[in-house]
Amino acid sequence: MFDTVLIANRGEIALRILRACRDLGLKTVAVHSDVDADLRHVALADQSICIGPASSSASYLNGAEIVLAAQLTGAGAIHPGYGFLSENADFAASVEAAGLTFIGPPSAAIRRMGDKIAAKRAMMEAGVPCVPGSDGVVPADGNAIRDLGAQVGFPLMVKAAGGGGGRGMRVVRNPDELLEAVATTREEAGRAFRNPDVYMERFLARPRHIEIQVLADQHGSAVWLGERDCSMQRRHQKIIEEAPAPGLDRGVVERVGELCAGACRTIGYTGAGTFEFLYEDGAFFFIEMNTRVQVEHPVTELVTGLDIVREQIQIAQGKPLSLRQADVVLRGHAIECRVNAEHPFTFTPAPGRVERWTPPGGPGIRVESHLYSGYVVPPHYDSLVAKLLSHGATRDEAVARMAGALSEIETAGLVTNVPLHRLLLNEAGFVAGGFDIHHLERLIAGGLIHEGGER
Amino acid sequence: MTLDDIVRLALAAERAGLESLELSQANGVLRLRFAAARPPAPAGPVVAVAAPKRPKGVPAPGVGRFLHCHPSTGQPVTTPGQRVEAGQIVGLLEIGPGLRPVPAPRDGIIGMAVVADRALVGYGTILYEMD
Repeated sequence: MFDTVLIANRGEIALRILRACRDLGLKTVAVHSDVDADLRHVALADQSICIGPASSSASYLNGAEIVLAAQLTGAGAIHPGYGFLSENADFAASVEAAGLTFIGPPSAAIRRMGDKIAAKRAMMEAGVPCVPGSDGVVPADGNAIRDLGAQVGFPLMVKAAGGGGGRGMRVVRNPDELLEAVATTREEAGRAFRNPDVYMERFLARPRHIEIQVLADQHGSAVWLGERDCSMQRRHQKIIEEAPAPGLDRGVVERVGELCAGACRTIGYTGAGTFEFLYEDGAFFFIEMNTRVQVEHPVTELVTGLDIVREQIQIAQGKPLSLRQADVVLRGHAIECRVNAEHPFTFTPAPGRVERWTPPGGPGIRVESHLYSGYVVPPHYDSLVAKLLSHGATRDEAVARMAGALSEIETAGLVTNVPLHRLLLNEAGFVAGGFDIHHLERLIAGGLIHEGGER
Repeated sequence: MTLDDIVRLALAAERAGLESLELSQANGVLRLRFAAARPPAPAGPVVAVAAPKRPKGVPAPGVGRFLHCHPSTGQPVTTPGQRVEAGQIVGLLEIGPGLRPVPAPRDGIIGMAVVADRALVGYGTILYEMD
C-alpha cells in the first residue's frame, strides 16, 4: 500500500488533497509548473518538483512527466484532482501500467463513462433514467437521421459522444436543420474529441441541474451521499451549488440515488463519482457521469459530515467504505459560491496580485482557497481562487450565513466575482430556490445584473 | 538493424513520450530526436508577463536524476571551460531506464556542475554554470 501521494493538480484542490493526505498520515509530493512554485500546497508538501513551463499542456497535462516524477520521488499513488488529467483514461492507464495507484476509478471505467453513448447505454442497463433519444450513434444515412429525429421529437439536441460539460452539443428546433446540425457537430467532434460519433436527445426547455454524489469501494459496496443542485450556471459553468436541492420529492431522489449506487456496482465503478441529471417536471434524466472528485464536493461534505477526498484515498488503498447507506444522514443545508478572479459582470478573467486576503469566518462557514496576501494569480489557468461555503440548519440560515461571509471576504488588489455573488444572494429567484439552469443567463439578458447592481 | 527496426523503435519512443533516444551497438550508434509538438496558444486574454531572463546557467529540460558522467563511457559529457553552441547536448538526466539529454540554452562557455551527481532535479533547475 502506498505511503506517499503525488498531487497532480494546483490551486485550492491541491491544498485540499494535501490536507486529506496529512490527516491520513500520508506523505505528499507537489508537482508544479514554473509559475506555480509559490503555491501554498507546494510550500506545505513533503517534496515538490517543477515539471514544466506555465502552459498546462507542458506541465499539468504532461502525463509522462507526472508519472516519471512519481517514480523518481517514490510516490506510490497519484491524485489527479479535478480538471487536467483527472478524467483522462489514457493517463489513468499509464499510471496503472507504471505499477502506481491512480486515486480514482479504474481506467476502463473512465473510458466507458467518457464515451457518452457507452455511458448512457450502461446507465439504461442499470435502470437509471435517461433523456429519451437515439440510444446510440446517429447513423450516416440522411433518411435514417430524419426518421430518428422524428422519433426523438423536436426540439432536440445533437451531442458528441466524446463531449461533456456543455461542449460538443447543438440544439435543433425543426427537422429542416437536422442534417446540417448532425454534419457540423460530427465535424467539430472529430476535431475536438477525436471521435466524430454523435447522438440525439430530446431537448429539455427548463431543466434544473441536479447531481448525485457516490462513493464505491473495491469490495462491491457503494453508497450515494444525497444530491446537489447546481442550476446557477453561466455557459455551463456552475457558480453556486447547494445541497439538498430545494423542493424535490425526497422519495424520487432516494429512488434515483439508490439506482446510482446500484449502477456503480453493475459497472464496476470504484472511487468518488457524480451522476449528473437534468430534472424537469418531477423527473430525473441522466446526462453524464463525472469520474472524479468535483469542485462542489464540499457542499455534500457539509450536509453529510464526511470527508470525500479522504474516502477517495482510502478506497484507492483498498479499504472498505467507512460507512453504509443507513449511516448517510443529511443534516441542514449547504451552499457554495465559487469565487473566481474575473470581472463580476463582464466575466473576463482578471489575474493579478492579491495584496491582502482576509477570508470570512464564523459558525457554519468554510473556505477552501490557496490564496494568501501577496499571492499572484497567474493568467494561465482556471480562474477559481476560492470556494466559499456556508452551512445552516435550514436553507434560510445557510443563505444568511453566506451573505454575511460575502460581506466579510476581502481580496484587496484582486478583481473577483464576489459582487455578483452578493447580488445573486439577494435575487428573488435564488432566494425562492428551485430555478432552472437558464436562470442566470436570463438575469444577464434581462439587464438585471450589470455594473451598477440590480435594476 | 534494419530500417523497419528503426521505424518500430521510433514509434515506440514517440508513444512513450521520449524526446530522444540513443542506442549504442558494436557497429555504431543510433540517435533519434523528436521535434517537440507546438503547445497550443494559452486560452484567455494575454496579460503582460515579464520576459524570461537570460538563464544564468544550463537549466534541466524536465525531471530526472542529474548525471555528471555518461553511464556507458564514465566520461563527463562536457568539461568546465568548454565552448558550446545553443542546442548542443551538454549533460544528461537519468529517467528510469533511459536518458534525457540536456541542451545548452545558448552559445557560451560551460562552467561547473552546480547540482550533485544523481540529485533529483525538476524542470528549470540550473545544472551547470554558464558564461
